Amino acid sequence: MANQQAVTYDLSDSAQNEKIDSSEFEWVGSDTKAMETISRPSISFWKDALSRLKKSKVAMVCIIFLVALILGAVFIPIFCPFNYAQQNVAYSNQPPMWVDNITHNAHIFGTDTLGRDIWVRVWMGARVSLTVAFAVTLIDCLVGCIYGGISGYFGGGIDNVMMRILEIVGGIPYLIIVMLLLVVLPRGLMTIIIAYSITGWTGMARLVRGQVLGIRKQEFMIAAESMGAKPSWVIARHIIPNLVSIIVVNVTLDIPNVIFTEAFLSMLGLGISPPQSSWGILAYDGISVFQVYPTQLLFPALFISLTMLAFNLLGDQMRDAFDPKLRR
Amino acid sequence: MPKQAQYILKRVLYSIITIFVLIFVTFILMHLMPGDPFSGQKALKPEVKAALYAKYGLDQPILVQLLRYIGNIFHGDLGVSLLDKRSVVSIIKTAFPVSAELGIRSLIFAFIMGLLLGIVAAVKRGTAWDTVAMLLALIGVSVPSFIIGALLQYFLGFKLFQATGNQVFTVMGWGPENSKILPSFALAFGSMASISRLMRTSMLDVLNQDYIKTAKAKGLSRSAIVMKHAVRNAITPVVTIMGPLVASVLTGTFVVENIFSIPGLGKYFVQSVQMNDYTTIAGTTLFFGSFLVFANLIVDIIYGLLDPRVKLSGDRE
Repeated sequence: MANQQAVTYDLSDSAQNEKIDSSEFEWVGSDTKAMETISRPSISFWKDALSRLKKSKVAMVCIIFLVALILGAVFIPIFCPFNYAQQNVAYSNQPPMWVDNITHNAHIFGTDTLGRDIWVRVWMGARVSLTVAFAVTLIDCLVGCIYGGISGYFGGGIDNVMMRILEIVGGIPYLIIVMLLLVVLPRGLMTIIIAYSITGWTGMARLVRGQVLGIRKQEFMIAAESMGAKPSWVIARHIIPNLVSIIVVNVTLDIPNVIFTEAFLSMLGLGISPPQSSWGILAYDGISVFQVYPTQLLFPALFISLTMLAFNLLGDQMRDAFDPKLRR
Repeated sequence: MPKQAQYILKRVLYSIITIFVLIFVTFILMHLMPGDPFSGQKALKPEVKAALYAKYGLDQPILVQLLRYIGNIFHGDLGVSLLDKRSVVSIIKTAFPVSAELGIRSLIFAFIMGLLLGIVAAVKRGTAWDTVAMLLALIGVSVPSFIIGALLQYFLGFKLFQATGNQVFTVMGWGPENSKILPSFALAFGSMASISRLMRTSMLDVLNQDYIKTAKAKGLSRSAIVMKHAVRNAITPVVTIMGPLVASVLTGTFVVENIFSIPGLGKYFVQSVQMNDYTTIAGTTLFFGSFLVFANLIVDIIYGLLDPRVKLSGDRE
């Protein structure tokens, strides 16, 4: 009861003290044109994600590092005074920044047991490793998208059969298949790419299928289909744009795995064969002498680790930029 | 329960099919290998060769050979190594326990350290603890096991020996306890990193749940909240990566066993691949493959039983 009294008192009080001007309640009319104008520049999904990515210092550092690495891999072997396969036993196992007395050029990373310049070999190795990484992820991405896309889009019986096949292929440990294939096929760059691609696409296919299934259930898809959109239109305008971000992130996170696999296979003597250079071969050569000449392992190890780190970090940052909901 | 039984049955069936596909692929690849088993002996007479082919059944049609091969596998006969004339089964019998011990040691290590790092990072989120733990995890994800192994050998094996004069860690072979620590650690580092990252996200997720707030409001101590409410719920997703982890530890043994000269199955496998010892390659491949398929099956079943919310439809996506 006391409360009610207080409320009535309050109301009467405000009515007495504040006189609200009735002009404030006048009808101002509705300007439909003004309501429809776009008051600020429209920001698409990509612009939004890119601006978020630009804000992240980590991502920028990674991008700069990776661009420098790619440029270095392309140009440094061309302009370096040494050849990656050129041996000179008299100059073997020299320390970094050592200047030889014939060409008077500095061996920035020193030389290896056969007197080859490690600097140019590391950059040649970068060529090989990055070529393998990009080629493999491209193939995996294409095959995975097509397979997963078909499976997820058509669903039903097709999906069931395709997923069972995928489950069986994915169940076979890929490294064992890769090594088996390397025994049968001639060793080299192409073989590694083929061998890895044969089993590597399953992860991407699974991801794309899951994503397509998710998109298909959403209202805008039902709307598009009920308005009579053809499958080609739906795929091109609605499904692919919604897939791109997740594919880009996944590819970025997949590249370090491929680099690792190449290094791993070359380490075991199954990958690229000498005198060709790759990071795995350099690490293998380095490990055999590293108790005496630790820098011969250090440089390739540093390149492998930093590259894998950069791709991993960039992938994480991109995931955050594309999907801020996931950020933790 | 029948739904769970159905799920388990389905998983078992797929695993069996996968193993058969693996046997088939191995068999076909072995047939595609260059050369034939008797090309080593110089200039055999055609009739001798024919007799040898007949003895080993190589004159039969390929389908018969395949069936015979499968039959032999089920009799526990994987052939004889071309290198040292030992039976492949006996190689596996002596080498697998070594690899298994290495793998189990590193998995235990990876789990304990990974969970601890992940929990600490999540509980002390945003502090120096978090930064250090996640930095360690990033290094673990980015530095391959062979580099970790070589660095450990150099600093803890070689430099420490130089500095102190006594061999704290042996870096070659597999015998006394101090020879087992470094290889297990080198193998564990990558898995530790992925466990700690996953545990951190999972813990952060759980710590934001309402029941944690309830526990706080009840006045439970911080340690009780973390131990009784958070960790128990956060640990289930970690079980899902057990399958991939077992696989990565297994492939890791290929390299780590080579660097540390451990006479495990990984070393034999790599050696046989390098020396084109076809029967050993085929035998160890089948063994590794079936082992991994089996391990994945067990992980899937455990996960299905552990978390009743898991969809029992067969895909975990």
